[in-house]
Amino acid sequence: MDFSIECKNLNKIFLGDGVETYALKNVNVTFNQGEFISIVGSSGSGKSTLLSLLGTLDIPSQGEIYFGDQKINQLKSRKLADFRFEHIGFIFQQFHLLPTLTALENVMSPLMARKVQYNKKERAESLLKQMGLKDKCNALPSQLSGGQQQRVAIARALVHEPSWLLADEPTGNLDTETGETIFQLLQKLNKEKECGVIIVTHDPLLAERADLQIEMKDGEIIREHRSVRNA
Amino acid sequence: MLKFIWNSWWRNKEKFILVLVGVLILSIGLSYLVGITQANNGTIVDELQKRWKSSYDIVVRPQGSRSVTEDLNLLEPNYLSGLSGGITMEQYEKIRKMDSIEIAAPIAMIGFTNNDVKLDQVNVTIPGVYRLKMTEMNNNGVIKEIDEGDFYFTVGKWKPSDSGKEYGTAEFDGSLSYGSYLLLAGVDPEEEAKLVGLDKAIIKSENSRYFIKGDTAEEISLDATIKDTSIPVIMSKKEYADSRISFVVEKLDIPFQSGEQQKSMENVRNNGGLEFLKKQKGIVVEKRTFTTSQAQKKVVEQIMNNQSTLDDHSKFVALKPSPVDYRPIDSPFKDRWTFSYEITPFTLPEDSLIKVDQAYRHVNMFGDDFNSWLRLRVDPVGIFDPTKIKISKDPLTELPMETYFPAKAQLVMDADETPVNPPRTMKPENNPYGFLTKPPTMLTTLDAAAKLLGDKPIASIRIKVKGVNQLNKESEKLLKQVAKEIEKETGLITDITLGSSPQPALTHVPGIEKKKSIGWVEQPWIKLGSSISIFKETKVGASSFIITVLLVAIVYVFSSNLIMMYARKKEYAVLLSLGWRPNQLSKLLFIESTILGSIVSIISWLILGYIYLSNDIDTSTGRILLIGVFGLFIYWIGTLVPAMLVRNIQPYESMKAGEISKGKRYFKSQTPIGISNNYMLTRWKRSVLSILSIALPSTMLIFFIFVTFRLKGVMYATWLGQYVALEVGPMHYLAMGIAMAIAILTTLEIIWQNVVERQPEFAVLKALGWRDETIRRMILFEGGMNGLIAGIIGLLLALLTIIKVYGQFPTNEFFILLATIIIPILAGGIGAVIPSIKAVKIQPYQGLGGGYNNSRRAEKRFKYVFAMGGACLFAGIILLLGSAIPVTINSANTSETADPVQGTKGKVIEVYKTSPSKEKPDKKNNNVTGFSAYYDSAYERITAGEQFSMKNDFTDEIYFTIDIGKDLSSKREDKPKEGYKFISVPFTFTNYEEVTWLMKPYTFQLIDSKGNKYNAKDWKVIEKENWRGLTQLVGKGKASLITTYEVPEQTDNLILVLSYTNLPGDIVVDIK
Repeated sequence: MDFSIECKNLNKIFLGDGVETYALKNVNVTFNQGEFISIVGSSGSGKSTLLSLLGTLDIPSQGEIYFGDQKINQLKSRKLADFRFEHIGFIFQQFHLLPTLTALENVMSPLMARKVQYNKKERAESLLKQMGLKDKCNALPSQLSGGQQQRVAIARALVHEPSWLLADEPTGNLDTETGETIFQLLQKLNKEKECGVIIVTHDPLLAERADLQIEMKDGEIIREHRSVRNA
Repeated sequence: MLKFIWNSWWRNKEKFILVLVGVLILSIGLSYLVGITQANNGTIVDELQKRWKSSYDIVVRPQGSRSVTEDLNLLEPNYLSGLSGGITMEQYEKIRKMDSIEIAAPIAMIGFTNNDVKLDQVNVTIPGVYRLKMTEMNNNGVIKEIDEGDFYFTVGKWKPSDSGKEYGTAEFDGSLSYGSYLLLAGVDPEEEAKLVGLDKAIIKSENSRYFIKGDTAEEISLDATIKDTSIPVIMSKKEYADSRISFVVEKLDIPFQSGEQQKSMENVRNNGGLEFLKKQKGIVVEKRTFTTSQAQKKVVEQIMNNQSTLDDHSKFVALKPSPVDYRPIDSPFKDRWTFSYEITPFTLPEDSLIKVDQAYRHVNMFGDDFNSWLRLRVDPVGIFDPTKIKISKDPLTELPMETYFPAKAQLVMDADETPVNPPRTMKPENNPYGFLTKPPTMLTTLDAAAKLLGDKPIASIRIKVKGVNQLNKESEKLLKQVAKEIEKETGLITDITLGSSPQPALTHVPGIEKKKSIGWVEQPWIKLGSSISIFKETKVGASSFIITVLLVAIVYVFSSNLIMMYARKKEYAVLLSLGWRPNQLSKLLFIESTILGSIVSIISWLILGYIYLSNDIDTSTGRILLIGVFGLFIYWIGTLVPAMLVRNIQPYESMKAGEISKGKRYFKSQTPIGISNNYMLTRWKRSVLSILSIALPSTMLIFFIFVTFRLKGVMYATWLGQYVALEVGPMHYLAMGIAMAIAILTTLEIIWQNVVERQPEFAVLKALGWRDETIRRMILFEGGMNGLIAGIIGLLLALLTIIKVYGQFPTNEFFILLATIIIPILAGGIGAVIPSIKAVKIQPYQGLGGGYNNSRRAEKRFKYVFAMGGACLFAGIILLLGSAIPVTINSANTSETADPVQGTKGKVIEVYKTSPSKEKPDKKNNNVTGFSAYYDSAYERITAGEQFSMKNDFTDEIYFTIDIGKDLSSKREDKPKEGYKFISVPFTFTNYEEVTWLMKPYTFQLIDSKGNKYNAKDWKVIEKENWRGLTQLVGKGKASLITTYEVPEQTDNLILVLSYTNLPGDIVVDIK
């Protein structure tokens, strides 16, 4: 199966007080399966909007998104939820861990309402172990540091083995050192698990290390650069 | 999923505690409400078995003094005051001498006189023509009737040559006097002293004493034929009538200086005398107002000071006491009043000296001209205080059997059968023939009464029998024996009053004198014989507050869920972005509400189980199940909308970072209050929830307060065709307390959420230097504002309810009700306290943090709050157990109902018509033929010569018949008036049953095609058998009579309308 994502003439328009604002304007881009992609741009350039459309968190105003051969922007919310569950793992800038759940429970949370073939708890525990949080299984988010929290969030995004990991400024709330650790973790996952990673970031240094770098401004892609190193 | 729910509860303790408090309040509220409904069960039947201990055992009355009401063993209250003579002194002596008689106290009702006394003097010296305007106001407790009159006099040298009639003026000495009608009665001083201790009730002083042997009536001859009788009297200290008179002296604008007086008065005479004076404008010179009580006080004062002027001149006694003519009718509310009567008003003959056309009692005069009236000189020997008379004073019933107090009467419904709230107590009128009359307040000796009244002075004798103290079989036997003996010896009628009991009866007071009916009056009647009287009262009210509490509960659960949803919006968005399906979120909410609802049900079951088991109350399993379903139902209903809304949450909301609340500007945000108002308006849907939840119990509370204050706790109303009492007690307030507590919780949740959402805003404001106090006030203001709006809405709704149910704007109580707005404001404020604490705790550095942090201190504090809440709830439960149970037991014991009692039957007449000449022709009847209206409403229509028969529709058994003769030619000796002719209708009534049928031939009217009505001129009884008093056939019997009418000669088309109180319509007879 082809897990590449293709955007065709994507537009996202916000209506605010009678004024139409283009958050995305005519975006045409293809993300190949297993690639590590970075999206950079200043605030309000539309990078987070693009990410939320890719992750099916939101629907485009115009244009189409293809996941392989499947057109996903016309699915019903229930199908979309199932699609997200199967193919997308999300990582947020603010981590968005559920505050009332322990680290382990947070990792298990996407599986809570689903029937799966594997043992949910074992899977979650092994993921936390991979993230180096074996001893933090029963800690609440408030008892974890920022880096630890983001690692729990990554574990949560990976628990159902998605084909794509979407990360919205995963290092934005972290210090440089911790940020670097998280970034390396993502790179490692990209290689080992063969899942594609799309990362939105401010940091040009981090962005340069991606296979494909996309730069956005005012809702448009102004530069698309494929890194030579990894090509 | 369950674990997830539990975690989200348990790890967010502040919220969880609130949820639990809500659950507890709901469960207690529910079990309480069920307790109430179980106790009330719609109807409470209170059975009251109560007997009077009257001061006499047997009452002896003359033959023919029984009224229709006695068919059902009922005596009207104060029936003794309406009797006039009938027993001779010999009969009395005979009874007194009987061995078994301990006391035989006769009472001779003589008649009505007045106690007019000079109260002031008008001091007008400036020459002029004056008008004396007299306005009398009689207050019978329901209506204040105004009676006006005027009178003209002159001051100056000018005097008319004779009476001055042609000038319209009269002599006036300037004295202003006033007084009321008094009922004069004769008693045997010795026996009365023994019976009720009248001698002990005398106010002892130099000039006040009881009767002594030497007090006798003396005749004073004024000339050969006229003589006054001077009688010794003792007077009551009390005045029962509430009337006042105001005298206004006006100087008319007529020149009256010396010299022009003669000219002016000639001018007055030439212009019409009195008529001219009536048109003149005047300037008020003097004004005085006096009440009947002031007059009575003055009379008493004068007697006590030996200055009485009562015997200075002759007093006429023209009016004899008379009873009210009652007629049984269908009770409008049979469950409440089994017995209902209507007063048949008396229509005075046209030539009567009395200025009214109709009265509630038969106007009974000593004679048509003053020569036949009694002439008295009143010699007061003492003053008595009726409250000191030795009779058992039962405040519940106020002894309608005793002689010295006015009968109690309360107006309970107006003419439209709408309950009057609170029932209004009626006062005796200053009118001998009014509905409620005064008891005798001027007493003389029996000898004096005999001298005045002649042959048969005594109206009744109250008997006390030796050795009878208690009501038991022996005394009953003895009394029966004595009564029989009296009847045998004297031929008088007797009734045993020992063991009689109060029986509330409803009397319809119809309109007379073209006025509207007053309405329905409840009086404690006397039920003779040892019977049990039954008071039934249907109570409602449970439903109204159950609905209120349920609504408030649903609003609470709804807002609580909604708030929960808002609070966790981001969390849900995250879950969605992690791949949860939207319907799984709905499911999540429903599972939560199911758990909470089940907890409510379980707690309710526990509480009720405890109540029921410990009190041994039977209840149906269906009911128990219902209670359980109720809790679940509330939570499910409250979850419906949030469960739908949760599906609208979009996953991209998880991407929004540190979103500042969206807002619109409605006000200038230049003050904290402006910021608050803008925020509340932005979130108006939430505010509406909070307002609604406070407004509902506020409405009920204000209404309850109104009932408590204005109506002394009970409001009467009609509900589903029943007369019901809404009794507001502690339980109602408790219920509203519970509802209010839930409302406070709702407000708390909503404002809490508002604070949470504005956390960054507050942090920024604090960082900008706002003080804690400002933020606290701002939040409290928001709560108070919600409360204020809720209070205003509640007040308006309550006022509407009051106007709807009570029928008038509560002007007097308005400020009390307005003050109660404090309660919802407080409720809103209290709801805002905890959120305000939270808002104050927000630190500037938390600007973008958000989220939940459960500090140890907060947890501790909430444990404290929780413990407090628990204690309050526990106290609430104890209170419930304490108050709910007695009611429940009560209902369990009173489930038996007494045997159905035969009530009264009859049709109500709103306004009694007067004589035909004064009747305006009825426009409706002036159609093609004037009779159609009568034909339409007729029960049956026959022609002269035919028979009307009343029979059982199923068995054809005949009850009674009325035959109307065909021969209408009168064979009379006298001649009709010029231009008139006689029409004589022969009637024959036949009664086939052993029951009494009312037959009042004199009420039948002839009506011509123009709608003119003719009353009977006279009637002649041809034949009679068991016919009594021209009104009724008592048992099987027959009466034939000829009633003659006088109608204009040209009239040929006539109908005879037989108004029949026992029939649903009139019998109309065509007469050619």
